[in-house]
Amino acid sequence: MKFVVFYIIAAVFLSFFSYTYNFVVKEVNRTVLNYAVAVSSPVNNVLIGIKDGVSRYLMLVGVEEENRLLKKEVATLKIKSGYLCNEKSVKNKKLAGYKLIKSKFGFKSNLQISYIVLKPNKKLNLDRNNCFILSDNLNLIGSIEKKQRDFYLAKTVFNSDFVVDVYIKSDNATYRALLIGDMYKPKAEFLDPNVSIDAGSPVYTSGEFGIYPKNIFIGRVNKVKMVNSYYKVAYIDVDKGFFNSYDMFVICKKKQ
Amino acid sequence: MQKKAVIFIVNIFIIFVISSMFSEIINFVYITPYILPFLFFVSVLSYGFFDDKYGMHLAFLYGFLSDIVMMNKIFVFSALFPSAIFIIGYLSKKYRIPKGIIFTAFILIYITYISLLQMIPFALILFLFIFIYLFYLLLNLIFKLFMHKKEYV
Repeated sequence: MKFVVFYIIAAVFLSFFSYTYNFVVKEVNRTVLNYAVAVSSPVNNVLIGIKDGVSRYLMLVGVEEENRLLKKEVATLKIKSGYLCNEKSVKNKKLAGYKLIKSKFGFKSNLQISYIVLKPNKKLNLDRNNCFILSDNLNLIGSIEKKQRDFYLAKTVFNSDFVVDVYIKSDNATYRALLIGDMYKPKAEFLDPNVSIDAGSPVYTSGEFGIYPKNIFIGRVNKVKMVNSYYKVAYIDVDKGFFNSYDMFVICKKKQ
Repeated sequence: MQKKAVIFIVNIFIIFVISSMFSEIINFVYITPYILPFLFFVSVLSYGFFDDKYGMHLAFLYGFLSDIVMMNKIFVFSALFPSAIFIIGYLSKKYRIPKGIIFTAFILIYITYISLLQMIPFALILFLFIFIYLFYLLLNLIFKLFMHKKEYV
């Protein structure tokens, strides 16, 4: 009890002292805090290390998340850019007169690429129109044959029954030919034996028979071969990228 | 007597070091007001249960340090710490209150006071309670090892 009283009195004296000599109290405070900081510095270092580790981990997680979002955005932009390219090529190829109908497609079987099955967003009138399928790059892929319940059956350029009148553009000249479908490489036949066509020349529909619309891109010439010195055959590379695509387009032209 | 004095001086340093470290950790998680004086008080109280005479001296010393740390013009803690040790010691002896309950009550009072001062999340309340209780257990263990003496309560 006596210690308690003694210490209370000491506290009162100390309070008076601190009022009179405040700078001494400040000096002692500085010293005590310095010692406290020095003593706790190992703990502080460990804590800073943990904090750095955690913040690095969080940053990594944030960067990963941002990366994922950016990838998503890039994918969206790619799709948008694809649609814009489509629109542009529609204008370039003068397909503006035809209405593009979006369509889903699938194969009849895994090994059968000469026929595909379509489900367009809109019903097609096959009695009045000839309908053709275009890839998402607006390349000609095939023509619609018939309706099967809710679906449409179409033969592709890989079908040997597929025939289309085409022209090949090479060296500022155009050469007419008949494109015949093939499982491996469609070919443009009956070219004049005197023509010289470079590899990579584009092949378009000519529309001369009045069945196909004009100026639809089909593919590029891979190589040209002479057949018994009667005529030349140009083997065509068709872009097979549409196999991996979910969508394609259908255009219809009125029967003449 | 000499051995007791040496242990007392060693304990002064131990309390200072451990309190500083624990307050550093708590402040690292969340800046908590009055944490160093409160840890001083908890350690002093813990010491007081082992040695009431030296506990009183220690209480005054750490009360003084708390006043210095808080930059108090009136040395409140210097008077409050020894008085609190005396009163708690007296009451705990008289009513046989277990030590754990006394410390739990003080920690809860402190946390309530802090939560009245500022809005703190519940997770922090839990963390503070567990951490300060661990601090008390650690000091209790250290004092037990040093003094080999039966506690009062």
